[in-house]
Amino acid sequence: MSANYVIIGCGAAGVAAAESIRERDENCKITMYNGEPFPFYFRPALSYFMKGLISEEKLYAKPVYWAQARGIRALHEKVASVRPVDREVAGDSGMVTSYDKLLIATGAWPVTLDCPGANLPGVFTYRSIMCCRKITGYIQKRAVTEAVVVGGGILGVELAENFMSLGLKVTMVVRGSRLLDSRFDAQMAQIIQRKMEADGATFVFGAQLAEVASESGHTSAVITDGGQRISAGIVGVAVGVRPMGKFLTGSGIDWENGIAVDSWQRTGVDGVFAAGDVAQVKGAHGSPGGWLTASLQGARAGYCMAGGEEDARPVTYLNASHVYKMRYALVGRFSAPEEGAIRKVRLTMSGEDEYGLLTLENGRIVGGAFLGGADLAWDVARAVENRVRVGQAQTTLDVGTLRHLANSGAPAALF
Amino acid sequence: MIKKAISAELADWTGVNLKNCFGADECLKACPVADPSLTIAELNETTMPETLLTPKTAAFAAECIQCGRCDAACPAQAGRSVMMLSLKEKMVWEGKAPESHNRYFQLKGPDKSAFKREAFNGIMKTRWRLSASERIKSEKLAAHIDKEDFRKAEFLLYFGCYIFTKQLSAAHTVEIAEKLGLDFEVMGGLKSCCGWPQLLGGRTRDAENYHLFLFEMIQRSSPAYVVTGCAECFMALCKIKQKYNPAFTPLTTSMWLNMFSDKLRLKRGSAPVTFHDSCHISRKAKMPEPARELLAKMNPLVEMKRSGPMDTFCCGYWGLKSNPEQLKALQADRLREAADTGANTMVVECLSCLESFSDAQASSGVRVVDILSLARERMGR
Repeated sequence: MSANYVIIGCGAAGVAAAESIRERDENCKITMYNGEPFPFYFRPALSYFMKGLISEEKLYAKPVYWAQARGIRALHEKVASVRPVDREVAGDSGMVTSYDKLLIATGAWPVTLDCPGANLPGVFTYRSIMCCRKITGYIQKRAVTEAVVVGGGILGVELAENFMSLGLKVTMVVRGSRLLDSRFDAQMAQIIQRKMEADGATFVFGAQLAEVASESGHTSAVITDGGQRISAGIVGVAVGVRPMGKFLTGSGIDWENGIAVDSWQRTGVDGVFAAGDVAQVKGAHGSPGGWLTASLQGARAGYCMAGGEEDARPVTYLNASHVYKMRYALVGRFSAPEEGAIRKVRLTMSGEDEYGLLTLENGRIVGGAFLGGADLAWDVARAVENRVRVGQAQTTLDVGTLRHLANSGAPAALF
Repeated sequence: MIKKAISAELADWTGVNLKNCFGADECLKACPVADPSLTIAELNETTMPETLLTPKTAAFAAECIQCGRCDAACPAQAGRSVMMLSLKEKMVWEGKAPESHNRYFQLKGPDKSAFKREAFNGIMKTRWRLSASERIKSEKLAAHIDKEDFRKAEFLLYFGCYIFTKQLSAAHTVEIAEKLGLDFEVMGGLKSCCGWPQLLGGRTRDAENYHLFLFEMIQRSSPAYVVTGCAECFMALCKIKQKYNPAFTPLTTSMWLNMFSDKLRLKRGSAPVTFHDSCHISRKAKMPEPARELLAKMNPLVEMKRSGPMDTFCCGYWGLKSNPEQLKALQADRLREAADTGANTMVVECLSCLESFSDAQASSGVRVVDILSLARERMGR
């Protein structure tokens, strides 16, 4: 009898898992639950869509025939509950699907504000095509000229950039003392802040929202906990994301701000796997997260679900993208604090606003972070995989030496 | 199973990077040849190992010139140009390679008909002997075509197929080596084809076989340096260096001439020149400096609007043979850009670029010259 796989979630992790399962097993049954009203799309490209650089059609990541060509049963339905005891998943409609192996890849959803006025028209989170449509529609309809973005993480900066490119004057309200404090170091954050300020953005650090004020039922300003009033026709909320797993209540699958999994994406429950933003890989502190991480975890989960043999090699995760008109890349374990066996080495880069950092453990490269140019990201990934060692005394390293170490001296071109 | 259409090394790379792509569309926007209606979804789907090409992606695989602008534009560092090699392999495997590609590969490589190759060599040698403008090739190059015995030498001047180009650069290279009194040997001809065009055409297995054959041929001369004026040959030599770790160092002609800048006694000209970066040398091998270093000893340099490793624009040499009209437009555009700098000479580093622009330059008013021939003009007697 052919195996029966169910995947909850149709994002990067879910799709990669489906492809990986089909690659190993031509005859199995695959059912996918998609809780969004859209087919799989490129979520990191939403900023390009919102800025009008690409059409909605170009956001869709697979051709319309993708599921059919692979014999995948794709349901546009949210999951209401999971019952591992019976190996069953129940959809919103009440329809039940049984499984042999289950993957939970529901991703994460933005956290909303809980202050007065948080539900006013004009207060938006930013995560999906629908969010983008609503935001741009609102800006046009209300002829908005000023925006406040709450939150200074990657998504906050991205949302601010989107607003600015749409011609809005932006103020960012950030709880911490600087931008991007969970991912980038202070110097990288400084480079980004300087660029944003040069383009007219202003910042309020060390503040949270006490209230969103309104005029005739629509957002008109925000008031910070310090009492500062900032005029805003729209408020973008980017104060973090929360893994989505409400439907798991009572399922017996452990939930602690996500689903704990091992390096093979297995949960503690037999036959149940998790991948992507909803999964917390044990021992993977400081993983760069993001699109490729989700995809690779999905593919790994699919491989393992379909009976692939365990492979002890650790995966080097990489996240390369853009932040405020600049490239960045995070590789491996880039954000470990400098203590004990961990130390950091600055890369000497050529450009004024270029910045690079390597993380070392016991003298071996274990990660890196780049801003300005990201073309060294793969060199670092190779260096991590090849367990490249850097001299104990060195506090800086030049780019040529890194390439040399990572590629045994040959020019970096692979092909 | 369609999977075998993609070689293992490429399949690994493609597998990871298809997942890395997040649909910014920057690669297709930067591409000189992509059909604007092509979507990343269709391109990625057909790049996967187990799917078949669509008519649009088959045409794209044939026309992709491997300039690497897509790589420089990609915010995710997904390496589209390498993924395009997978697409090209599938194009060959599915029998969808254009006839122009098949013709191009007819004689290149050690495994092709020796009879046809000899006939071709004979015709070329006769033409050189009878032509006043090409007689220098008869003297400097004819004896080296497809030869099998090599003496040990410090420098191996490697010309591969470009020994046959219309231009005189290969002969000039030999002439300069003689003037400098170097210990050198020469290798060239269709049999010692570097294999890079095959790689760019989706014939990866041929390419790898030719790299091995070339590596073995080079070893017979035990050189310390292998010098080439062709960017594709240079890439092949770098690949051989990476794969087989031989003792020689690959050099472009710029790197080679920089070694002897004092002995060359180059005369400085006052007229500004502009420089067309090779996609392979400047962008892919990340070596835009040696040519500029050499040029700085000869003429003031004015950069084109699109220049350097990130932004240089391809001469169109490879893929657009299957679309001549588009090729002409692309070259005219590039030469216009050169003229806009105010310089009336555009210097190129790669012989393929020189060959590619050779027909287009007549109507543009811009003289296109390779850096080695320019250096020869400027050498002290």
